Amino acid sequence: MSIDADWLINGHLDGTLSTDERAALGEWLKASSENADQFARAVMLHNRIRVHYESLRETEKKVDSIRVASAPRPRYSRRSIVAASLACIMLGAFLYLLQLSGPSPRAAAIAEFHQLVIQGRRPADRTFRITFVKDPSDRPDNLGKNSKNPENKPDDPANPGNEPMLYVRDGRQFVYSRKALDGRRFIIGGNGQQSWAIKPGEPAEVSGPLNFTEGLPAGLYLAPVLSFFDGQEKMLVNDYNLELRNPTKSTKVFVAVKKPDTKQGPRRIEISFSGMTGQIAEMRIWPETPDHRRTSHTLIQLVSEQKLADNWFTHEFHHPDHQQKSDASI
Amino acid sequence: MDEKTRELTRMWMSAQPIVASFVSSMVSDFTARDDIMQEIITAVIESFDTYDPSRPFIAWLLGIARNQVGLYRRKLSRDRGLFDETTADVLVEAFSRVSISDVRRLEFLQDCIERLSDRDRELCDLRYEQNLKPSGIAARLGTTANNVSKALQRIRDQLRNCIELHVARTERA
Repeated sequence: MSIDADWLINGHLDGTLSTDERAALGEWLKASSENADQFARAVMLHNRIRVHYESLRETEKKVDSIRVASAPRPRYSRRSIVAASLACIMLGAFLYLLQLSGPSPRAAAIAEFHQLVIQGRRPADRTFRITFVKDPSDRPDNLGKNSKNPENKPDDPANPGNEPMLYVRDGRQFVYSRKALDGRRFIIGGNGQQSWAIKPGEPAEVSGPLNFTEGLPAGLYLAPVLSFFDGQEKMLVNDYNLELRNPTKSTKVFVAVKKPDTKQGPRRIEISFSGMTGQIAEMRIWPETPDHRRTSHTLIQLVSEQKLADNWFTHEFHHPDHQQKSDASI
Repeated sequence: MDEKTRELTRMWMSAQPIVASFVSSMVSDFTARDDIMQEIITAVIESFDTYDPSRPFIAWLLGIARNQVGLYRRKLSRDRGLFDETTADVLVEAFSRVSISDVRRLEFLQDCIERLSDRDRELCDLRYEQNLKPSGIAARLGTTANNVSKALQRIRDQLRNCIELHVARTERA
């Protein structure tokens, strides 16, 4: 194939390549390491030119804004000074970030969190009780003191209690059962390949794997209790400031507070777990928008690790009629 | 500042242009690229304890950069990257081969830009300072996008040759 590599590289740098040309460049890059090296050198130069001009623009703005340049000076000299100033600013910002983050606390929290996610995916059936905590005095300080129901036993789905229950298998499959104010029970679930919903008196609706997960408290932010895909936990790691409390004690608390520039997701999440086994005891989730009329936060407590029926996570198990309504919304 | 932090700072400042170039080769959006660079810095700080000094630092950095670019792509739920995964791996290897001395050679760039003609500097201003693409520059200068693309290619060749000349002179001196 005869291609003008220089033309493709420069087209890439200027963002003018068509889809076919980009594909041709990709093939050329894969053809030999020399090609890839040539490309890397071109990008390095391009990037350095851009940095040079960006530095000029930024520093000239600063110079203008503080009105330092009272007398005309050679452009070359001013550029040199402001470029050096910008380099200092960048270094200062980097050092500030170092001081701010510190290598240990956040890194320790992330490492612990990943261990929790791994622990949450080990083969087991877990049953969690969901409580929508209304008492405003039930603050984060009271973590771990809210075990209202010591009965360490899952609800019978055929005769469920009033509290919502979340059943999880291997950290991937789920069934979430809750009662509406009028007493009608709604159940959603998923097995990784599909999700489903059962409304009272209606056939089951079956859809894509994530379609009905919106009904879960905190949705996709439930890791490590429940993860639907690899890397899901990154949403928490990336979008939240993380902290590990009581790091040397038997019960540790993982605290995640949403970063100011993050738009979606709960504003705070706390996970209490055993420092010895990594077993999650409870998870507390503060909603994205405070609503004091309804709830302060949602409490998810582990109440059992009893084995559930093999077909527990299918909608057929939970629907008496074994009906299924086709769904075009996938 | 402790010794470890000082060492990380020094290594990062040397290698940052290589990482930035890799990211800019993978992501076209300037804002996104800056966001990714911030994420990379955070990840580097967080995981520096796990860095094995017997491994090349730049290759380690590029591994982190590669992951962050991948996260960015997945976060968008659509692939706005410029290359596929295989090509990305090829580029990680290529940028891993770039040395710190390669980066230092680019310090001659400023002098080389000063040597450009007024017309070529104007083109650079429009492309790099005002971030216009060839079509935008063409509209501004009353020429064709193709002419602008060719001129930009020629200017980059000229700058590269100028840098090589400086390097050769320095090595002879």
